[in-house]
Amino acid sequence: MIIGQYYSGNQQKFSGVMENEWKVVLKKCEKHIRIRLKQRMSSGVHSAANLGTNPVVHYLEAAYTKLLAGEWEWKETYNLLEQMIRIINKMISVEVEKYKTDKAQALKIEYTDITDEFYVPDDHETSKEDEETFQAQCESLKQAAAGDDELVMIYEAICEGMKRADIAELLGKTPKQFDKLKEKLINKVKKSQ
Amino acid sequence: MATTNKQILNNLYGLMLEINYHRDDDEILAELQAKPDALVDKHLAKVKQLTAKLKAETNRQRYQSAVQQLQILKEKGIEQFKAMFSYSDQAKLVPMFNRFTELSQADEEAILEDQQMLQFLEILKNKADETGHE
Repeated sequence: MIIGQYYSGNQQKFSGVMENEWKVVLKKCEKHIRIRLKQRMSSGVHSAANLGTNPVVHYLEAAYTKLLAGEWEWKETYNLLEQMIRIINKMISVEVEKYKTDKAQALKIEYTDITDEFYVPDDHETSKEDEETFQAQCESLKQAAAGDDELVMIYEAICEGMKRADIAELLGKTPKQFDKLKEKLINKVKKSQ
Repeated sequence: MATTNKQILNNLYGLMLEINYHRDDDEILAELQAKPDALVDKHLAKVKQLTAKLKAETNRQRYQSAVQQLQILKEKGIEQFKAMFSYSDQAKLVPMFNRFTELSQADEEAILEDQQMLQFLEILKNKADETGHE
């Protein structure tokens, strides 16, 4: 078992993490990976065959293992969730880059605000088949919003690439109230499929 | 430039990532309480196992390093180690140094069980490494 250079420093921070925090972090990270992989679905990079295991389990396990063993540093300013998500994002990006160019280590992207990272476009070329899938999904989204003024506004804001807080402000709601509305939109899409 | 379908979906997933990130911890815990999640439980158990394994491994490495250091102490002699420290540091560490003057097998075993002494051995090792690099 390899003990990394950040083990002692990381352990000090881990000593303050309670079981409930771990549960929340594991749950949010699991969902984060699932959404992130859908966002990056256009290549075969994250397939089970390519990674040798279930991709969600692969990234989740790798992230906490690297952090616990001190292979990656738990930065002072981040909480456990933010640090785990940053590691997961980096690993997924590196995997995409490795698949594309085999120069994974050259990839160095740092963002001040973690939520900016969520909207970084995937510049991977899309196949005709993928484009057809994207078109069908967007059409479902548009259809689901039709007839409901608030949902139409949300759809248009998504098209423009607006972030959560901005859309909530546009609708005159709190971000939490907006989250519920977005759920309504997604549920309508799911029902229509 | 018109927004492509790919961009729209990218924005949608970005938004979903953001909403997931900001979800209330209490809401998630209540959900897990009502409907346990096998994946979360499995990985929580793995986190605990890994934490214990890593702790055992660091203790093993620390112990091994202390055994080596004891060996070096015997070979070099305690006076040579004392000379690496300033007089004030030596004074602070005298009780520790004294314990090395005549070590029996039983003493050595006791030292390896003694956390304070293990720390002292680490100080000696770091000092010896520093001196070796100068």
